[in-house]
Amino acid sequence: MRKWYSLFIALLLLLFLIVMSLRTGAVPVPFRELWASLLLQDSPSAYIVLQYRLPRILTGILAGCGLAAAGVILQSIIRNPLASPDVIGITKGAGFTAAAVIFLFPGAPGYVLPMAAFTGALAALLLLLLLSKRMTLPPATFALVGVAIGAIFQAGIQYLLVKHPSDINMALLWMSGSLWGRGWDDALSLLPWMALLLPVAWIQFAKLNVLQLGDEGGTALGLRMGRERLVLLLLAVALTGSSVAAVGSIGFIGLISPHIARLIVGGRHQWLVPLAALIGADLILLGDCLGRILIIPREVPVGIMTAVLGAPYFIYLLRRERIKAR
Amino acid sequence: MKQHQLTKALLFTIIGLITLILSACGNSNSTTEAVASPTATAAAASPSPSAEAASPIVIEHQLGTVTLDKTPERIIVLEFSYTDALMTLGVQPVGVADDSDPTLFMDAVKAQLGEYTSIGSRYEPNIELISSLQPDLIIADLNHHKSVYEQLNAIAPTLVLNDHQADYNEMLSNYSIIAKAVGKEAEGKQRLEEHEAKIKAAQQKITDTNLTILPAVVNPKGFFAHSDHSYAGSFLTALGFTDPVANEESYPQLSLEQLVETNPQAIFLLPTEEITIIKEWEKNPLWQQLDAVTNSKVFTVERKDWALSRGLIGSEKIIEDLVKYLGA
Repeated sequence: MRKWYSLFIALLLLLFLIVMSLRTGAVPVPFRELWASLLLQDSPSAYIVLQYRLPRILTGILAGCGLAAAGVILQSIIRNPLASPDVIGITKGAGFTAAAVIFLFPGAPGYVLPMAAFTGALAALLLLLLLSKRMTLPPATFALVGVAIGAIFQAGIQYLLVKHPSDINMALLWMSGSLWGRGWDDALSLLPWMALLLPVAWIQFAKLNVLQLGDEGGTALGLRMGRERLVLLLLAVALTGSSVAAVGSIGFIGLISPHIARLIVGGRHQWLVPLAALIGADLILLGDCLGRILIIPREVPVGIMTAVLGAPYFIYLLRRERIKAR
Repeated sequence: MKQHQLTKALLFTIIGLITLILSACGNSNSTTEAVASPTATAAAASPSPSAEAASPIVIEHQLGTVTLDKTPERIIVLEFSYTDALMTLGVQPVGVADDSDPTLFMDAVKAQLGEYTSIGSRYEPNIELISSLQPDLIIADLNHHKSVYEQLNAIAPTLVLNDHQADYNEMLSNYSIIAKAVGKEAEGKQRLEEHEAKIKAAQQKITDTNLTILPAVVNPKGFFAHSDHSYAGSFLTALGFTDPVANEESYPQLSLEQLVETNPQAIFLLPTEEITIIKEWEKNPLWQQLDAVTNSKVFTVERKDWALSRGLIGSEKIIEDLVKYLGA
C-alpha cells in the first residue's frame, strides 16, 4: 500500500507544481484569470498561460520522466548506483554535437540543434558499443568505457569553448539545460517519443529486476543477458537522446531521481520506473518554477536549479537511511 | 497471477493518462487558434480607417515577412544596436533586453532613452514580460532568437535581423530596415547621410590611416582581438585602417607572443573590468617590444561604445575616439 501512496503523492505533487508553474512567473496570473484563460481563453493572460507556460511545463515533465527512466534502466543494467545517462557519456555526446552546431553553424535553422543533440547521443552509443565489444564486457568495465567516452566528448566541448571564448553564452545555457522558450512544437515532438518509450521501459520491469541480480542469476533464469542488456541500453539512449534534444543536457535528474525513488519504494522496478519518472518530472518542474521567479526578469536555467534543489534532499535521504540502518 | 493483473492495471492507467494528455493538448491547440484568428482580424481591421499611412509596411526578413498595418508604437528590442538605431530615429522602445544592466548602454544612448521595461537577458529574454507589454513590433536577433521566433511572432510581428554577426556595412543595411519598420524611412535615409558626412569629416582629421590598428576586449583572463570580421574591426577597415590580425575568427584570443608577432601600431583596449591581463603583460619585457607601446599608442576606451552599441551612435563615438587619440 505504501507504494501506491508514494506514487499517488508524487502525482499529486506534480499536479500541484503544474498549477503553480502556470500561476507564477515574471507576470503573475491570479487563479481566477488562470481558469479563465485555460477554459475560455479570453483572459489577457491567455497567451502566457496557453502558448508559453503550458508547452514549457509539458516539455519539462516529459523530459524529466525520460531522463529519470533512463537513469533507472542504466543503473540496473550496469548494476552500479552511480550510473546515469551523464556518466556513460550519452549526454556529453549530445552536448558536443549541440555545441558544434552552436559554434560552427550559427546560421543553421532552429530545428537543427535538437536533431544534432539526438545524433550526438546516438554517436556516443555507437562508440560505446564499438569499444565495449557489443556489451560483452562486465558491467563495471562497461561503465568505465562510458566514462572515457564522456571524457572525450567533454574534451571536445571544452575545445570549442576555448576556441570561441567570446560567444559561449548560448552554448553554456544549452548545456546547463534550460526550458526557456520551449513551445508547443518542442512539446509535441517530444510527446510521441515519451508516449512510446516510457510504457516500453515500464513493461521491461521483470527483466530489470533480474538484471540487477547479476549475470549468473540472469542466465540461470533463462535470460540472454547480452541481448537483453543491449535492448535496454538502446531504450535508455532513446529516452535520454530525445529528452536532451528538447531541454539540453541535464545529467543530474537521471542520477538522482532513481535514487530518491529507490529509497522510497525499494528496488523492484514495477514501482521504481513510474515513481522515478514522476520524481524526475517533479524535480524539473520545481526547478523551473523557482528558476523563473528568483531573478526576474532573468532566469536561472533549470539544470542549475535541479542540482541545487535535488542534491541537498538526496543527501538528507542518504543520511536518514544510514541512521535507520544503525 | 495477482502480479500479472497489477501489471495490466498499471499499464492501462498509463495508456489512459497518455491519451488524456494527448487529447488535452490537441484541444487547447485548436481552440486557441480558433479564438486567436477573430481577434487578429479585428485588430487588423479596426485601425485602418484612422491609419496615417494608407499602405501597410511590408518587410522581408531573415525568417519571414513582417506586415505592419500602422506605424508601430510599442516596440521591444532585443539587442543594444537596435536601441542605438531607435534613438537616432527619435523612437522610444517600451521594452529592452539589456541583460538587466542599464550601465551597458553607452552614455549618449542612455541620455536619450526614456522609461522602458527591462526584459532581461539578450540570450533568453523574458517572453512573459514581452507578452505583458503588448508590443506591436519586436526586433530580434537571428542567432539568439531563431528558436523562439514562432513564439515571439505569435505575440507581435517580429522582425529578425542578423545583428550579432553583422559587420559595419551589414549594420548600415539593418539600420535602413529598422527605419522602414518604424515608419521613418525618410528620416533614416537622412540620418544615414548625416552619419556619412560625420565619418568623412572625422576621417580628414585623422592624418595617418596607414596604421595597423587592433581593438581588443581585455579581461583578467585574456586578450580578445577584434579582427576585421568583428563589428569594430570591420568599421576600422572601412575607414581605411589595416587589421594586423587577419584572422578568420571574429574575436580570436591572442597570447602576448602572438600579439607581438602581429605587432599592431596602435591598440585600443576595451576592458571589461578595472584590472585586466594587461597589468600582468606590462611587466613583461615582450610588451615593450610592441610598436604601439614604444610609440605610446595604447589607448583605453569604453567597451560599451566600441563593442556593445554597434550602431550609428556607437560608430560615431568610435571615430570620435579615433580623432581624439590619433588625430592631428
